[in-house]
Amino acid sequence: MQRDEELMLEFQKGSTESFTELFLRYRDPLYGFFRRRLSNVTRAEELTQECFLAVLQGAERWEPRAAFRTYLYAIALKLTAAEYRKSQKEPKSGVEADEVGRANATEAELGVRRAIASLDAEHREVVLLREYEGLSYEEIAAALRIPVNTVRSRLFRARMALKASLDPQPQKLRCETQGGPSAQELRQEP
Amino acid sequence: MNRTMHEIEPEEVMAYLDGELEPARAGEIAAHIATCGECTAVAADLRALSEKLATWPVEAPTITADAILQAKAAHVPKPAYKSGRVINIVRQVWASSLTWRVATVAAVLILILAVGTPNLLKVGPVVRGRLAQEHISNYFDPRTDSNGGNYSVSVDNAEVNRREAADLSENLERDDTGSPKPQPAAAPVSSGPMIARTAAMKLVVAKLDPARALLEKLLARHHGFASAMTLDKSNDATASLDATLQVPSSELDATLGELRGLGRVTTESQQGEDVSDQHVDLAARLHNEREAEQRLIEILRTRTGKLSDVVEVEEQISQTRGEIEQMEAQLANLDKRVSYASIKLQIAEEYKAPAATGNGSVGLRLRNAVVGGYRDAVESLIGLVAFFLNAGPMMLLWGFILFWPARAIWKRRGSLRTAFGKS
Repeated sequence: MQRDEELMLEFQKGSTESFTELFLRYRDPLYGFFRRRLSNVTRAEELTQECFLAVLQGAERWEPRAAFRTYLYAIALKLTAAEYRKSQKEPKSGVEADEVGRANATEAELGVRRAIASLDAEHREVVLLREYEGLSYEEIAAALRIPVNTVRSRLFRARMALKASLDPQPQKLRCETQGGPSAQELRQEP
Repeated sequence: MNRTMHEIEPEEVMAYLDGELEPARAGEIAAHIATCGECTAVAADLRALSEKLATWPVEAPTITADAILQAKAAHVPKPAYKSGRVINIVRQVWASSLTWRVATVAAVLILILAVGTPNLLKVGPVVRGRLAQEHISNYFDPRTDSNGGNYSVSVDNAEVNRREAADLSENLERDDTGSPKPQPAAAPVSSGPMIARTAAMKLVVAKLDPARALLEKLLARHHGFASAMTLDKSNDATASLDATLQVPSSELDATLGELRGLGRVTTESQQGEDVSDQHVDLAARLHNEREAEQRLIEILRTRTGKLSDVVEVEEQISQTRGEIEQMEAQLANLDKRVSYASIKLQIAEEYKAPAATGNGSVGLRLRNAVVGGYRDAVESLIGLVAFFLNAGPMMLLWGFILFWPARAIWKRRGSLRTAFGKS
């Protein structure tokens, strides 16, 4: 299978098939990215389309200095940020206002949504990029412009907080016994 | 087991499960997890968490690649994102709200005012200064045509007075026989208003003696002279020269220009006094006194009477003659003031810390150094305070004006950073 970067280079030379291949690879993950961050299904589709359009329009200037996936999600993050500002809302996951999604959701799914929504923005974004978009620590660091070690520590804290939220019988985590912050503390941490 | 004693951190277990470790380290962690119950539990917890998170599915989107390619071909819709960070930020700020638009416009206006106002403020004085300079040079320059229309009303009045004085002078120049009478003083320059020009200048030079030599050459070149000169070298540290120079009025500007080249000008001023009225008044009084003298002489010559009357007439003639001579001197002085400009010049040598005196002991030199250092420190401090007093209000004003947009931009940057980096 061709690498993303190779497909982009071919697309720069005029191969629409390469773009179609890239589109098929990232359509669902990218839509999922927006869908999990926005409550509006239509808007999530529009932003997915705008993200690919941005790739198309910036294709001539694109250089394979970083992974295509990082480039794509960096655009998606900027689009999301612009969308938040446009709607004059604080960044939050699409779990709260998505009544249609709620109606069709299972109890487990709702629990996951609530747990993720309870995270602060810093930790939520890292865990979403890792768990759902499957980005590596390095790619997350590049997309969010933070150090890799920060990604790792935020991800661990976020997971511990999620574990505490989702576990029906909270038990003391090993990190607590070792003197680290409790899940509750982690959740309350700004 | 505690955090310091346990060889594997939970974060590292997590990184291992995420496939983020180097192969060698990953092998070590795998081996450790196989033997450590707690790390095994952590790994199990993390795997279970990932499985739970995977229960949040997302429906499939309906968009197609063809639709995007067609939209690209039609150039619509335009994506909100544009590479070009500044443009993007400006666009986002502009699109965000009315408040932000107003703030942006206000910031731009303030910037324009900040750049433009000083220039505007400069233009006024420059134009006014230029006009004033033209006016003054016309006013002062006796070669300027008085009919050129450049004079103000006061100058025109002065011109009228000057002509009246000239008429009176012509009358005075003729005696009873109609023959011209020699004048006690040269007539002043008559092609313009009668302006007595004076100037003052303070200079600081590196060496006084060369400056003095240059000054003397300069005076000779401009047909001037020093009416008074005082050279003070009593104190080596502050040798100075005070002089009153007289140069032809027409040479004043050139002389001042060359004087400026002698050293650093610390103070300079110029003044012009219109003496036309004074001149006319004196000339009229002189004319009357001369007529009175003529009449007295005529009385003395034609009338006969008592001796006491003759003596009294002679006394009056003598008194009148005295007044005439006094007025002639004043008139001559006025003419001289108009013909020659006066320059009060002070030249000081640059301050040099006095070298060790004849009995210059080490203590005295140290004292001099202390005094000099103290003076420099005080002057620096005064200069610093003066700077802040001078520029402080303006800095505070602009700081206050620019604080709000800067704060708003900073907050916006913070929110952008949060949105980009923390969303």
